[in-house]
Amino acid sequence: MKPARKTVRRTRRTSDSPPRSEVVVVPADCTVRNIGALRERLCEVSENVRHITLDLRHLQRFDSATLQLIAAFTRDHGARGVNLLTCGTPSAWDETAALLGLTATLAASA
Amino acid sequence: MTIDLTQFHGAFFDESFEALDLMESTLLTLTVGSPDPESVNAIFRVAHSIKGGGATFGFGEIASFTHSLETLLEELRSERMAVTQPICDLLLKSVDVMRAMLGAARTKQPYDAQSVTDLQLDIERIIVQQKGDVSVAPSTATLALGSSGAAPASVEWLIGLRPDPEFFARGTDPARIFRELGRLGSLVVTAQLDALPAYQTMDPKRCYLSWSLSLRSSAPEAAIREVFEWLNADCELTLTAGTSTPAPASTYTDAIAPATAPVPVAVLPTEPAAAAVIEPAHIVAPPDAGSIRVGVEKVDELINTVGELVITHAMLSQISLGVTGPAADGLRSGMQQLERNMRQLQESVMRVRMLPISTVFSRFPRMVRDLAQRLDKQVELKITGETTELDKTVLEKIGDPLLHLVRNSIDHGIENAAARAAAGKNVIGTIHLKASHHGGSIVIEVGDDGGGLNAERIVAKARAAGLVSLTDRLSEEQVQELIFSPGFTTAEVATDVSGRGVGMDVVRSNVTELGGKIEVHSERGRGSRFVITLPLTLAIVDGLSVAVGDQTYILPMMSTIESLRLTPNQVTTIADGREVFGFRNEYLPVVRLYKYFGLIPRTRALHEGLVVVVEGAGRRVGLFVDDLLGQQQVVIKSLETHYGRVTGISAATILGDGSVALILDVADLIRSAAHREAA
Amino acid sequence: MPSPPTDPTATAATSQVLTFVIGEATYGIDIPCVQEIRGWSAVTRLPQAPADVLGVLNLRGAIVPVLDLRLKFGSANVQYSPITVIIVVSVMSAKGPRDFGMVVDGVSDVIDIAPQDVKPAPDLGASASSACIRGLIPVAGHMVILLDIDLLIGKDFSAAVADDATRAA
Repeated sequence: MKPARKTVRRTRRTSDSPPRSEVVVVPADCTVRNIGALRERLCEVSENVRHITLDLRHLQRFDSATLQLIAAFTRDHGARGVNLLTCGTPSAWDETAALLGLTATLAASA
Repeated sequence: MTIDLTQFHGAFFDESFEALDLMESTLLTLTVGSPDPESVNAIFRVAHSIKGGGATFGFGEIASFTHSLETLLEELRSERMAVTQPICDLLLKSVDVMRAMLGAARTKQPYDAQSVTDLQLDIERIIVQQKGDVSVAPSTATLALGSSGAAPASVEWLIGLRPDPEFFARGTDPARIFRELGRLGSLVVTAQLDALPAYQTMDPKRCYLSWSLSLRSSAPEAAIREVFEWLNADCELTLTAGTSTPAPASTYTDAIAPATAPVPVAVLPTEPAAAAVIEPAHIVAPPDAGSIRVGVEKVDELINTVGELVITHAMLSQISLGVTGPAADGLRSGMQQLERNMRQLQESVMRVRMLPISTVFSRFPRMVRDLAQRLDKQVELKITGETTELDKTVLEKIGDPLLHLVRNSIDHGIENAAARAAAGKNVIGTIHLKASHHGGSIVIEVGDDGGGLNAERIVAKARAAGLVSLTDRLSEEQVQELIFSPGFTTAEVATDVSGRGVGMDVVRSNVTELGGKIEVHSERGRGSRFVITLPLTLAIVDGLSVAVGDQTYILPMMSTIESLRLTPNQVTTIADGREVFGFRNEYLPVVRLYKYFGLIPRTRALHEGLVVVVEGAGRRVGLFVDDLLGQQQVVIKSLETHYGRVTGISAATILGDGSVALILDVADLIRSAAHREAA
Repeated sequence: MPSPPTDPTATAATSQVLTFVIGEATYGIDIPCVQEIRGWSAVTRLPQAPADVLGVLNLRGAIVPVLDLRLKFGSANVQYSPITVIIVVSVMSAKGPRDFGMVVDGVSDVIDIAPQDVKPAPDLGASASSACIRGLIPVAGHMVILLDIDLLIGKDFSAAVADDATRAA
């Protein structure tokens, strides 16, 4: 069964002009059990955007799998010169990132 | 060498459940603020042994959860953290969660992973809160375990961790491990992302990361290894002691290759070879020297065989009665000796299946405490006779009905403190759980000193529900019977405790299913007593054999009250053709068994046969049979194994002559007979 | 049969069938499901059972139902005497192996058959017997009706139990 989509697309694409920025709302519950939904959402992010904002304000539950996925996402977009911002980062997020040695990767394009 | 560890799972589960019971009961006696150190130790040992077993047998989630729990308990044990009420509650919740996880692992069913994660987060949060934020590189590096007096020299450990792909999916979180390591000294973590694919192509549940860590710590190597203790064997772990300030440099590299059987990564530095196989017997707490664990199915097999033996014996003694000649006396006395030995054997075997009722009663202190708290009532629980033994199957099935009764007593029986004070009673209500043997049965009582059953309210409710007519005059006994009617509930406000759906009727049907009965004795203002009478075992029943036509039926003794011969003038035929007779101040219907079973009887005249007064589901009827054949213990054989359920029949048995007799399910029979009469 | 008669593997897989007689007809069942063949002994009646379920019997300590196949297949002459035969068979059900006894007029033979020997049964309408026929085997000038034991027991006992459940409700 497909996990229920909890992410909401904030910026809608207008028919022709490619979007310039996009917001990805990371759902409240985002652990290895339902990480697939977040990846699906991340995959919908257009290749052509200039700015991506990761909205972490709702995030309550996450684990190392979440950080791994976001690290890959940040690295891949950072390599293409996309501006990546996070907002509403919970303090536990930074602490866990540090514990996992991912602080640098996650900060790469912020 | 690999050992199939699954063979030890059963023992692990059994030990763990027992340990959890111990943990729960110890927790309940724990005094907030000044706990008994031995109790905290005992609780710690439970978490520790479950963690060890969980890791050994590859139950990663259990190991992971208990690890967090153990960390918290270590803080309590070392008195770095105080035992507070929230922590007590958290620990009690942990018992439930561990029970659920173990239960799920045992039956290979999924469990509520969310509740586990939530609780684990709560536990970790409380540790962090109380200890102050543990930074990755703590300024005070002397937080090390076992270090007292002069701090030993700190050593730089280089640790490499390459988890297997299923690492995350198993519920292991490296952040948790590293946080743990951070407590031992100053930690620098470097993640290797070279194996991490593009986010579009990766499987986000797999672990692609690996880490190299550098830990400067004065902790002994064993303490560092312990942090990794519950890693799966498929994870690659290296540990090297690097540069050290004065301490001797010992280099120790230990790569654990993927193994076929899950083996713990914990390595004792003195005995590296022991890492390959750890004898499970050392991990689970050793049982008492004088006892062994035997699978229930083995015991059941034994009981079945003994049952066969009893039947064969009955058959032989019947034959021996017809034997004449010089050998006959010897044969008969031999048969008698055999019978004695066999009864002894049967009793001994039955006793193997018997467990003390304390295994069920032990659930209640916790439940009573929680519920009383929630309902804002003061309740004291008294337990007597908890060593009374009964059959394991009965024991397993009696828990829920008892739970319901106790809940009911707290919810409806015990009044709140104000009402109790006003009535001149002790403000603290008492619930008394009592078990005892009574002949061939066991009697379990749930009593309270609450308000008792409110007859007016019961009758009003019953009238509203159409259970009795407005004009019916009911005896006290009949009023009390009403609470067992389906759909009956007296709660004026349906609380979430008693709920709406489940009523006393369900309790009664559960008890009846076990071949038992339940009665209520209540005194207004003084309290109520629910008395459950159960057979000692489900394998054998004391029965009265009766003849109907050419068939023999067994009536369970527990359901029979009296047998009598009716004279024609004692029987009245009422308007709809039903026959009734007077019995102890009430009129009971006659159920002609031959009619019910469609048989040709020896006699249709009531005064030529016998009427056996039976009771089931709170109702009494007179069963008309041809004759009584005698009273005997019979071995219960399921009809459902090869056939199915039959209304009015609970099971079958094999008689001395090898023929089959059906055992009547009196409650079911009364119900369906009434239904049929009405139709 | 999906495999053509020339298929060498098909010829190799012969199986054994126990044949028995009810009235004028010969029936067959797969040998592996036969537990034992025993003479008639009185059964204990089961209340509310279908007419062809005679009752239960003690089979080495287990309580096993007995079905009179002759009644089921509409045989006119049904008598119980010491030469009446009960074939005890075992089938796998969802709840594990289930045993039951079948009363027949007499057991006749054990025959070896290959899968291609079994011919599809013509449509005989919705009679009790036709519902559980797996096929026909021509043997020495007459037909052996191969029965599907699973269908036999499945229909009968689940029906009995379901019927009973509705009555109890």
